[in-house]
Amino acid sequence: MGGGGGPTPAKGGKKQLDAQINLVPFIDLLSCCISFLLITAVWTQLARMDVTQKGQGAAGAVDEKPPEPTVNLTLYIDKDGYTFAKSTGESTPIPLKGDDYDYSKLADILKDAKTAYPDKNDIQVKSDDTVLYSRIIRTMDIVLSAKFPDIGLGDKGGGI
Amino acid sequence: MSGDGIFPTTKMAPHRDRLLRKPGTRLKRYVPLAFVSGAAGSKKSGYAELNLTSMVDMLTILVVFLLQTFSASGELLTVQKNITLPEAQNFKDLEQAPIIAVSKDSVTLDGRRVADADQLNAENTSDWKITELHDQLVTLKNNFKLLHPSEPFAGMVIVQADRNVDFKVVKKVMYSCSMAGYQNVNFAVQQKAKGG
Repeated sequence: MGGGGGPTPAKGGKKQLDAQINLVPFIDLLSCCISFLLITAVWTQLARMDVTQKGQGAAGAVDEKPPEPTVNLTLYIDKDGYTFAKSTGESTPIPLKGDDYDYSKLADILKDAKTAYPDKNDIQVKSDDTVLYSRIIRTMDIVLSAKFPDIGLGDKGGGI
Repeated sequence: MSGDGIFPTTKMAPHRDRLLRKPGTRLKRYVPLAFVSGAAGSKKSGYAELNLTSMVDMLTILVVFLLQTFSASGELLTVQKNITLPEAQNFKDLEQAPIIAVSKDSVTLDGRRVADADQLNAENTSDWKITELHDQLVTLKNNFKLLHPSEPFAGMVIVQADRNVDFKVVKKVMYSCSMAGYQNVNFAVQQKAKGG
């Protein structure tokens, strides 16, 4: 870096040890960096949530070892609330809480299910036609928070 | 115009008097300012030096902040005006894939309109396939296979749906994707900080 010198010492006087760094190139460099970063900045933070469709095996294991007999977990969403069902026949309804779904109770039930089946990673979410998309996404978010990463999204009527 | 004052009186050379006039008093080139000069009578430079250190500090902090928010992948997804994305805390990074935008009025594939509201809200449950969307997705798939013969087809598609659409509409889009060979359906969401 171009270091500027201090004032010239007088003849016979003590030499000054102060040196001044030339800050102008620094400012140039930083200004260029800021301009570039501001131009290329992405302000909207978008991401994705992946789902598998019903019937493809939410675990995604088509050519792996044959599936062991295990319990299947299904979460139904309709206008009256959730219904958490197991293939063993056990079913837990989660009614609406006011006008909205009871997300905290759903989180508790899913947490219990994960404790009961720690190796289980897949779950089927089946929704009614009239359910809002934002509520499905929020439900899927809660399911992902409960450590069920393989979500299969399908129609409650059994179409997809 | 009158002939008095600064304006010339002769008709022959209207600029002459003005050009040859003796200049009046002017400001000095150097004015010793009282607050700059130290002791009275001592000559001191009128230059004041700007302290650049604090400015460099500020610029450095700005650069660090912008570098933290820098995304190397760029902007893969642009949100349309009539679409409000839902928020989620659990998400994955975006990847390059065909983008299906679903609003209350229409469905577009990479910006091309493939269905309108009437088709989306039709109660006919026997056929969920959105024909135009299906056909264009098949074309995209065939193009990918032609252009990248050695690469496996991921079958990935990003659905960018408005938060207030019904699942019925999303279901039709998913069904059309599935029929076209796109099994890996992803929903675009807005990132939400955990605990927020």
